[in-house]
Amino acid sequence: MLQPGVIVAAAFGYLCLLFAIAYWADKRADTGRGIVTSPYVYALSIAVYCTAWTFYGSVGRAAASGVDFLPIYLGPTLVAILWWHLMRKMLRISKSNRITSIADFVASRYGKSQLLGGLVTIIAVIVIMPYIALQLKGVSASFNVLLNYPEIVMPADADPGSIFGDTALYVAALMAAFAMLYGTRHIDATERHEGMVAAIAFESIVKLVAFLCVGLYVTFVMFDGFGDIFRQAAMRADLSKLFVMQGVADHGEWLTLTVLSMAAILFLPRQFQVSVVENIDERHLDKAAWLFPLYLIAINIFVLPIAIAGLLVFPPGTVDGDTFVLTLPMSERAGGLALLAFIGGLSAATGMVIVESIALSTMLCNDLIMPILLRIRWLGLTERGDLTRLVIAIRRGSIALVLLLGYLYFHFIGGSYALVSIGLLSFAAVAQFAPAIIGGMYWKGATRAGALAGLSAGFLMWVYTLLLPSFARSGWLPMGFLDNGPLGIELLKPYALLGLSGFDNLSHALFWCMVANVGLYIGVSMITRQSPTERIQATRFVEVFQQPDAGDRTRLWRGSTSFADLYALVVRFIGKRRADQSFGTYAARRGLNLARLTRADAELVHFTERLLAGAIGAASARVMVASAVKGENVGLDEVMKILDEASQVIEYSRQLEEKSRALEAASTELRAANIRLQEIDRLKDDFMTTVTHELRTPLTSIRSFSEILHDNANLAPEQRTEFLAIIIKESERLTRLINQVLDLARIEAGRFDWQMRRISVRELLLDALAATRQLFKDRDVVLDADLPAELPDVLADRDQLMQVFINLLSNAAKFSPAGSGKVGVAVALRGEGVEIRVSDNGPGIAREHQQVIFEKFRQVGDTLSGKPQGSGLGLAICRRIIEHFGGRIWVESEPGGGATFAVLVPYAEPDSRLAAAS
Amino acid sequence: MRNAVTGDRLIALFLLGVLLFTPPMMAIFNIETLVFGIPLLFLYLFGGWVLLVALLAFVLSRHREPPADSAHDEGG
Repeated sequence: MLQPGVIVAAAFGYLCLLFAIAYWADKRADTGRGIVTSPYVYALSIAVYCTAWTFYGSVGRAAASGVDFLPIYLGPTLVAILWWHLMRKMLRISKSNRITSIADFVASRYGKSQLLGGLVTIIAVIVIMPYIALQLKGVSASFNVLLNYPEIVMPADADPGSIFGDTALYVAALMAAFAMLYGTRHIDATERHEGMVAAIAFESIVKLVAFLCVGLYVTFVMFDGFGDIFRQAAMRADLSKLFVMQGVADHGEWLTLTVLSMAAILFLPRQFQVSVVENIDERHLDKAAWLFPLYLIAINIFVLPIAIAGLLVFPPGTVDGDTFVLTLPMSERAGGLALLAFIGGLSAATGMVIVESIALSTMLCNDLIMPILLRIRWLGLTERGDLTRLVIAIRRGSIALVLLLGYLYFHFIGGSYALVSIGLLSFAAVAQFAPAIIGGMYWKGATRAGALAGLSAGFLMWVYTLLLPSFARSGWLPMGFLDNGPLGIELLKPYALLGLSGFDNLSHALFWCMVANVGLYIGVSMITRQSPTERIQATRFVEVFQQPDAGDRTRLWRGSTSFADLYALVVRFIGKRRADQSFGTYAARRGLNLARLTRADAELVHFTERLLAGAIGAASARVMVASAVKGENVGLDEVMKILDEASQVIEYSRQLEEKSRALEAASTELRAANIRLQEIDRLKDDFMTTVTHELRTPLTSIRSFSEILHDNANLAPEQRTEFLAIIIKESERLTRLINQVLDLARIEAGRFDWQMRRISVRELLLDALAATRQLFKDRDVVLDADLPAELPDVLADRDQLMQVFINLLSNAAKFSPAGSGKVGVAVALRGEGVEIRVSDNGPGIAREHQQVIFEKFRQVGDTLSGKPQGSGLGLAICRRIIEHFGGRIWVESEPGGGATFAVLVPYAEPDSRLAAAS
Repeated sequence: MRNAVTGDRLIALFLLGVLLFTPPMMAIFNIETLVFGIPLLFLYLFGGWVLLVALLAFVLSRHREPPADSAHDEGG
């Protein structure tokens, strides 16, 4: 009932289903309704950690040595607890630097070093090769086992078949097709693959369900629950020893495996791909951190029952433990379940291979092939047009290459090893990335040279203590290499270096690798110096949480380039549509207008570099951007200034300085305003003092004369009349003063009721002369008025202008010497208006006083004439009035030569002067 | 719960996990006997594992993610 055709159809159908799911998820993502935006999908995709090795190998190892399979899953559980610290930081760093692979991460941290990125890529490809081979082996072995259904024939005994009948080859080809389709669909700045993630999450469900079904069947159908299996096993001495761990040596391996798996869950290229690169929301970690270990528990709970059941059912040595998941249902002729188990194993293998090959192809393309191609000048890639196709072709080629290498490894070497041993070989090598990455995340002083030295030494040590011995065991090297050491030097025996023996091979290798790796990493870092770029990157990695938005702060690029150049560059790598989209978002976020952007500032150049880094890796992006930016990188001093830890302090102090400068300016203004206020306050005080003084003088005389009149009832009538006249005069003066103060206050406050109309200057002057005639007569001053017969009208308030004239005339009368005084009134027509001049032959006004007399209460000449005459407000009011009319008032005088007060009042109409002239 | 508290609890939980799965601790339960029909060592390892994940889920569920913009206060 389980024909080969059925098996192939089922496997093929399953793979088609994967394609469909990936296609569907990609479509949804394109329309913005992605299904991978959930922590559950995220956790399931991380479960790509469980491969065919878990599915088949765990049971095999449990059948061989009990709980020894567990550290591979306990290590990731422990790391998951630390995700909150470790992974969050890795995520934040990767997002702010647009990191797309583990090689990118290392290269970026150590100064965007192409050399380091290339080294990590090569190591990764070499060490993952056996791991991929392991998956192919798992699939082809399980297929061959199932093919002989219902007989149970071990793969080793089966007909090896020709290369055309080689299952592994077809499986590899199908997987490559899937990876090419969904791993390189487009070149993207984020390097995310929604379709792939959805398919991987689905596969995680399938393999879990398949394994649980087999487990439940074995435990509860073939046996009577867990207790039954273990009780039967307890009765057999060879099985009950699996219940406990044997000896101290096992403990060493237990710790080694735990440490290796801890490194693996973080640094395996595919784990980095799903947990960091494909991560959409940092907050998903909170749920995934316990969902993923829960998944691990679920998929491991039946490992021991199945293993022991297999040992109970099959005679010792007949059936390989690695196939128990398949052979136990087969032994009961449960064909459907066996097929389900096969599909489960297939999904575990395909998930791993797909993600791993995509991750490796990204690394190969971005960190190895592109940097080399870009460096080869005669290819002229830096000048060439659209490179999107080239990048995609390289990615696809890389996927094919990775799978081909995996297949070749499986074909020529893989046969001689158990699943677990192959996987552990890879784990041990991946652990070599740990010092450079963990150190790089927490230690700013680590240098590029240190990372290079540590990584190379660790890798070489791994080759020597694990890889070469595996070759020797496969018969590629003489066994003497293992037993007697190279060239017969005992101290150099790969499994007992420097005579270190007593450990298992893996612990021994891990010890030496880490000694070499960590030792050189730290040692070389201590004695070498960082380049400026390294310092920048070190700070950005280690202090990623302290930076508001890492990436925008470091202005690495100087020199000049145009936006068009950068745009063209980006279009070549990620295509026009995505370039428009990215730059559009950039411009929108900063409120720029792309159309008007010509010069590219440092920030835009940096943005471009990050954009490109997503598509072709940090190292290549740097080369490309450097080719576009004409001008050299920043000088050493400048970079130091930006990047040193002191840079933040400098930045803060600069801001502080700016602030304090602003404050200083503000306080200067305030001080000036305060001085003005004080001056105004003082003036007001002066005014009050003067006014009260001016009020007191007439009041005093009124009071004293009133008292005299009151107390001396028998005063002579003529004396009484004289006193009363004085009282009346002083009262008038008081009234006048109060009126003037009120007028002035009203004018100054702008509340004066002006009656502006056309006024005949001639009539007004005649009125004013008539009003003051008596005054001139009293002082015996000659008044000589020379008024033309025709004068144009002016625009003014009649009463106020009259007051001005009377004020000027009475002043002139007052200051002219009595008896010999001469006052002249003249009128002239000027451009802006009528000028009225009143001149006297009094003492005149000193030049320094000519401005002052128009201010309030400023009287001059008091030294000459003793007591001032008048309130001191007259001229101040005159000036306010004339200025309100839009005219001017001024004085021309020479001390001793009399004074001339001139008033200029504007015409009522602009053309009055012309009319007057005609 | 504040970030720092969650971080400290997780470190403590990690140390507990290391202790649970350390060979000396395991040696205490490394006895060839069945408890509830299950080998003691298996029971201990899986029991400890479940306990650890349950505590992890508990600690993380108590943690309230601050609004996105203030999530930068922790040094990781």
